[in-house]
Amino acid sequence: MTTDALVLQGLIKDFDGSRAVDSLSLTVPSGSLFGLVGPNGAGKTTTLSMATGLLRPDQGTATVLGHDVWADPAGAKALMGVLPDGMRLFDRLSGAELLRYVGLLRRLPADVVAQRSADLLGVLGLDADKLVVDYSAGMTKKIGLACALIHGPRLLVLDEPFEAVDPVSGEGIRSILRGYVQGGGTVILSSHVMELVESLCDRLAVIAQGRVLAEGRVEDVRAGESLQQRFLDLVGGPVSGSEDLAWLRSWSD
Amino acid sequence: MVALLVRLRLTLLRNAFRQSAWKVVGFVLLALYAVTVVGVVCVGLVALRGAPLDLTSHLLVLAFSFVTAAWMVLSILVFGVDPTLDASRFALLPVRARQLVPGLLASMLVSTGGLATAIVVLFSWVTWSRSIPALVAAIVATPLGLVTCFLLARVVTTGLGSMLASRRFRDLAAVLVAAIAISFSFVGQLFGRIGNGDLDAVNAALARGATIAAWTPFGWAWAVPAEVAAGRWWQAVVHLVLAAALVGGVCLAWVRLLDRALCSPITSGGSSESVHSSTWVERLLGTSPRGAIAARCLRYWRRDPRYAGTAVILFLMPALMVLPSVAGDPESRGLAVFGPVLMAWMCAQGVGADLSYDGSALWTHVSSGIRGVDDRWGRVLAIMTFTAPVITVALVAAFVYSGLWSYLPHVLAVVVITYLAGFGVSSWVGSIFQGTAPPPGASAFSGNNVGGIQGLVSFALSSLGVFVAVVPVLALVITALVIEASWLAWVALLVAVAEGVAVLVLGIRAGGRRLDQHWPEVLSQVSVPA
Repeated sequence: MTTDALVLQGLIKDFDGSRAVDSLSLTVPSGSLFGLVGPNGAGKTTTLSMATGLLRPDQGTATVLGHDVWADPAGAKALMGVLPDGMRLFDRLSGAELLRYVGLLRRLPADVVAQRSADLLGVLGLDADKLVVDYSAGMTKKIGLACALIHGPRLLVLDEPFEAVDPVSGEGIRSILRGYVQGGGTVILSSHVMELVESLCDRLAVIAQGRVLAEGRVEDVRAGESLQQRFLDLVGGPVSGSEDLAWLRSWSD
Repeated sequence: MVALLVRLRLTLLRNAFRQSAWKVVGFVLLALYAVTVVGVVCVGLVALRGAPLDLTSHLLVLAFSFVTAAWMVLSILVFGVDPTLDASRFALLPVRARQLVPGLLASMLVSTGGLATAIVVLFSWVTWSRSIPALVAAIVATPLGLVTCFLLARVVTTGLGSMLASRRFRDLAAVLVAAIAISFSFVGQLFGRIGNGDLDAVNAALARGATIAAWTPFGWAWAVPAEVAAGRWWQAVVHLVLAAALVGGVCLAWVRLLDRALCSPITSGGSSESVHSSTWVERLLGTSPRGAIAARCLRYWRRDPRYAGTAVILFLMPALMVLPSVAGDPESRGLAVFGPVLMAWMCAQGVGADLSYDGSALWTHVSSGIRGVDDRWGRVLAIMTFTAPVITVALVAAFVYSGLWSYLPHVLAVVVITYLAGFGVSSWVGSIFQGTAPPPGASAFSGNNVGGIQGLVSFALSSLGVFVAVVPVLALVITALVIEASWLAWVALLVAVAEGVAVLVLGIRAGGRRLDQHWPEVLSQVSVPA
């Protein structure tokens, strides 16, 4: 296991003249549970889209276990399971039909698909015969995760996997991810929630304005502080302003 | 509050334009269309000033009653056309319904439909200016009618809001709108036929219709100037009182409904129905990626209202275009064979908009690393699976009806080349041009003209391509007709099959290759920015 699971080198992406991702380089070692944190608009989703072949970078490369995502897309995509954020699913299919669809697209044999999709639906507690469009937001996240898992990828790329997921299901997903990493898989996930990354991930990168501000093992990045405080130090937290919004307190005389 | 809401409306419109230049183009086209229609109607209204009073009254009362009813019905069906000023959006603000009502009504005037109706109403004053009392009656009564249009539309959508927001209903409405839209062409043709016949019969039908319409709530306000012009004073007064009472009553009802809506904002209701997944498609087309895509597309043609609406158009439009021409007259029965040709052409174009309809869900295809050619084949096979049998039935029906069996090879040749080459060309063109489409369940009219314009471009290009492919076969068929050699028609059929298969395979390969090279660009093309 000498090859790194995901290597991003000098990724650049401009949207209408403004730079969303600016020469971003990142290495995710195999077997790690890697957290990507950053404020809104930091470029997390853009970075992950370029890593998974959903968005073409203006410059730079992404390599998955030795396969260049943009030179050998088929090879790289076969090794990856992806959960994008803010994209629709084929939601006029039922949960079971969607999983079967994704499995067959991944060229799995039909009986394997049936077995695995029954497993996944059971573990995640999803209704097999209900249309995905009628799922709640949290259930939609979970069926997306199931789609990312069904072909047994070696690298999981998850964009905001815990958003809108209830605490019980969240714990379920966490234990799935931990077990997956113990079995030799690699996970990179993005999140806003520092406590979650702190407790779940072993490595992390803080990004803001399309650049990496800090990267490494969670203890090293944290440097003795809480991750929340360290994060605020890095990206520049709010200036505590007693003069600001004074009118908001004016009624409490 | 009135000025605020109207300004909000205009700001929203301006911001929509800033998003994309295509939107401006779409809006200008829509506006041009509306201006043309309104212009023609206004010229008609001016001309009616000198027409016989009976005819004028009947036409105006009937037409305006129809418009009023249309406001109500259409507002149900295309709910979601303009949710920007939907009552439930104001639920968090500390306003009462009574304060919102004038502003919401005024903002409806600042919409294409509202403005068009208002202009037509203004021009109806010209029609009624044939006498001073009639003009005065029109100026008093027709604004009531205009407000009735707006109020009815609003009351219905507010009252039925939670029902209209359910997915089931929106799905059904999309299909109904498609069916109604094309039925209009049918009705228009029927009217044309009546018109050719007995003018007195038409007049009598108009008079009967107008009398009934005048006494329905839709016609109360519009009947007032007509009654005044005819000197039936007490009837005019009754109509005016009824119209005013209607506006008052509906207004009160709306305020109450609005107050309720402001307290219970609509969340689009989910349903918990289970679906049954049949497996015959998989048995037929296999479990390769190609077969899986075909099976998924077929499920979408059944479950996604946008596809279901398209299917209604694909099958009904050729039927409705051909049927009125061939009905009755034995001489023109032969025209029936053009129905299947038209159907084959339209069905083959159906694959063109597929990628746009997927929207951002297309990421599933992109990230699973499937080959573009599998994507193309899957979609084509899905449409073939259900359109080929229907076209066959239509062909048999056309020949049984017309009895022109001697022309079977001719027609078959044209149908085959149009169908096969059509799929090939549109698979290729569809891989080059994509637009954004409203997501499944949203109204087909929900103000996204980007997809519409690019859809038109791609439709025009692929129609041109199909035409080029059809020319050789068509030449053979025409020669066969001219020299009356049926063997040549059979040759044409063979050529059609060979060329059709070649164009199909080449088009799908070219489209697949194009997709393989441009997946990320295609994905960002079809994703609606959230």
